[in-house]
Amino acid sequence: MNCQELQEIIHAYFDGELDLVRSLAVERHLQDCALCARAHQARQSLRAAMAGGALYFPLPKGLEERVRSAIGRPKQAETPPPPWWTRWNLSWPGRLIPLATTALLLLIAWPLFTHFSANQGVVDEVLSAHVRSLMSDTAHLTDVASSDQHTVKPWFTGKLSFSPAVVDLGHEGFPLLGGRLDYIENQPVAALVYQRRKHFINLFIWPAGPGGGTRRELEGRQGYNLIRWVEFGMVHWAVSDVSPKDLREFVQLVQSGSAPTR
Amino acid sequence: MEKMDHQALRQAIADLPAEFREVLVLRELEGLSYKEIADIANVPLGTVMSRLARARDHLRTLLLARAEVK
Repeated sequence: MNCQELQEIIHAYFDGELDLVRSLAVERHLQDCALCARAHQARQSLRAAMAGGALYFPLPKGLEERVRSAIGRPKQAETPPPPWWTRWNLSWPGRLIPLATTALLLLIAWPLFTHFSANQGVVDEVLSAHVRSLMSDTAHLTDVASSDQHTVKPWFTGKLSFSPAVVDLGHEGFPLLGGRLDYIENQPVAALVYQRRKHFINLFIWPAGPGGGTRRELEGRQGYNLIRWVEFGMVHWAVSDVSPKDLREFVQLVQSGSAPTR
Repeated sequence: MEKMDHQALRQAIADLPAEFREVLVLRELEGLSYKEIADIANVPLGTVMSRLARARDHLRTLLLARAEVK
């Protein structure tokens, strides 16, 4: 590094803004070059003089007040900003309106919220029961394996407090594989198992509580599709990884097939 | 330079062109980095460095001139 090159970066070095490699080069040059070293020392003296504190002045007492009174702007008191609702400038009855509105919205939304939460729990339970029934090593798909609805339906007698409608849909492409007991919403329920090509469909049935509920279709839940409906006082949940179209067809067949034989 | 007259130093800084005085005060008195100075003065980093170099040279020249007058 020569003197000319040093001049280009010496201020960055002086201010601690230079990278390590070039800083070392600068230091080597300052050791070798008396002229540059002297100039550097002069800069350090200047800095020391400026840092001496003599360039700072404390404000004379009362100067701020004098300046403020001269420009006509009093010092602003450090008070917190007023609450947001005061900006509406509402009278007392007016202030009650937002409160009443909030209470009303809560009153309307709460039952919907709790209903939704409860349903959400059932969805998870139904989905888990379906997946559990298909787990390879511990598969427990059917307690009674039969495609004969007159074998499967009586099997539930004595095991459940209700008798689920069982239809065989073999001719329609959804052969009945059998049935088993499962446990959902803290109660034993009937699970009927059907097949669609290589896919399995679990149809869970249990008595509907008060209120019943409406039909719901859920697609793509962890790769499964679910349809819920209530019919003849029974909650039905059909779960499978078949396409939503196939599942809808299955549900339609169950609905039309189960009614007359009941 | 070692025993610098504070009054002379103050006057020399006041006599600097505003753009030089700005970067010099921000660096030497306020201790700001080049980046911070660049943001405040709204100039590129390279300009901060070149202005500082020229400000210091200028200040030194002014102080030497005052010393010679005395």
